Amino acid sequence: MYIFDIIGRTVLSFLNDLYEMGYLAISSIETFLFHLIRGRRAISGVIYKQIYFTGIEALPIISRIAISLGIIIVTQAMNILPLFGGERLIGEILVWVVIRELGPILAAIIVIARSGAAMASELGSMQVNNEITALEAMGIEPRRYLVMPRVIGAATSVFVLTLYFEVITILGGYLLAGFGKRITFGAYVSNVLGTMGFMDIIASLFKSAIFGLIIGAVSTLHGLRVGKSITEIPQQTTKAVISSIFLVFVLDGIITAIFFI
Amino acid sequence: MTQDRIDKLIEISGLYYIAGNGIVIFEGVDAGFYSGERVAITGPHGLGKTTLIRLFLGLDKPQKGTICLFGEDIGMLERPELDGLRQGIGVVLEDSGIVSNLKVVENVMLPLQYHTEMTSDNIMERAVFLLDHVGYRGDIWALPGPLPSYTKKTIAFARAISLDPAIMIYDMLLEGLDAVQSSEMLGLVDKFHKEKKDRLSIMTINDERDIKEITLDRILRIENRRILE
Repeated sequence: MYIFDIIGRTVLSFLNDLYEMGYLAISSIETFLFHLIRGRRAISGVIYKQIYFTGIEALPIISRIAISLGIIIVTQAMNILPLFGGERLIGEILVWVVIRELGPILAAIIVIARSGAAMASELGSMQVNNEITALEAMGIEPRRYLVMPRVIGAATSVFVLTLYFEVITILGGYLLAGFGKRITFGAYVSNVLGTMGFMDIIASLFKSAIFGLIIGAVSTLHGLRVGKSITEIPQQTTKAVISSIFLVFVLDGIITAIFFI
Repeated sequence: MTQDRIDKLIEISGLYYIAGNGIVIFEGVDAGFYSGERVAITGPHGLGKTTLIRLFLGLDKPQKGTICLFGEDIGMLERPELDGLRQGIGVVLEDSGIVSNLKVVENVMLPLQYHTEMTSDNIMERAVFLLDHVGYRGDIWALPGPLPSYTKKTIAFARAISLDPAIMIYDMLLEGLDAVQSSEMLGLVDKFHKEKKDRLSIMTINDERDIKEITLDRILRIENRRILE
């Protein structure tokens, strides 16, 4: 019976977490779109800062990883495909691998590692230092001032970083690994664009927006769960990172199934 | 003083509160706090001084009884309405509660940016004035993290007073301060009280002897789960 008790508690706890994360993500969008009048100046500042830290400051590492991935994919494709006359498949490979899957997933993982952990530990530290109590005492609702800007900032950043990642992977990969090979740059680009369907782009962008919302919601939720002890900060930060990665992969599977099966 | 009592700004009726650990903190407490008063709430650690402040602010909810702020039962209010009432209260917490990722001046600007339609220039001007008013002489663009406890509390003073509240609450203001700093803090409390006509000032402290320097209208003591005058 004991094992059933553990399994039951774990499942209930997971479902409760999912509910709270979903609530945070949806209420953040609702507040951003329809109820941003109260406190908008202070809140806008937090959104801009979040986009700066999560999006703009991530550009160097995103660029390095995108170029490395582009080199790997283009090198492998250009070496293997000619063996069976399949040079023209380079477009399909890049669209299937980079745009449909790796772009959104890798951008999300980089944001989780950089900003998800930072958001959880920052809010945890604010909780321990009574900063959140002070905000509430001033009539500043933490969900409006702390959670919503981080969720919206993370979603915007992952969305834009995914687009940037995909463009850099495809272009950088050719320029560094494919240049001078049998396929010209013009043919390469038109091959990729010709293969890319409307659904590929929509699926990629939809995934990235959902991943960003989830990263923001999971990270802020765990940050706010820190109580009064400083030792809870690393514990909740770790949980935020693990839960975010897990949910990103699960959602990726679900969205891929919805769009492409 | 009694003749000057006009409004009951905070009223507690039949308050009954059990903490999360199951300990009964308040049992059938009735009390009123009036405009223009200077009140100290004393009592040893752990008897509920900070809890009482949290209850005043609606941060904790009592199991029984009512708390009225400015005549409104806060238990019946929706979140935006409660936040509206909180704008009329300036709070300085024991550990200051200064937002660590905002610069010093941004901390003071925050309530003004969030709750008012003042122009950015006016907000900045008022924040700089308030920091000067509380005696802050450091870099207004510094992050507050490394600042000493006393300095953080002065910044919290400036932030608390920014919306010109009708009620000022100082929770364990003198904790962690030496005699000179305590004296300066009490000077600020006195100064702020006199600045606005009919302002109610409430401070919690462990020991009455710590506040001999300040004139008080009432000293309340938390004892046996009740508030005694």
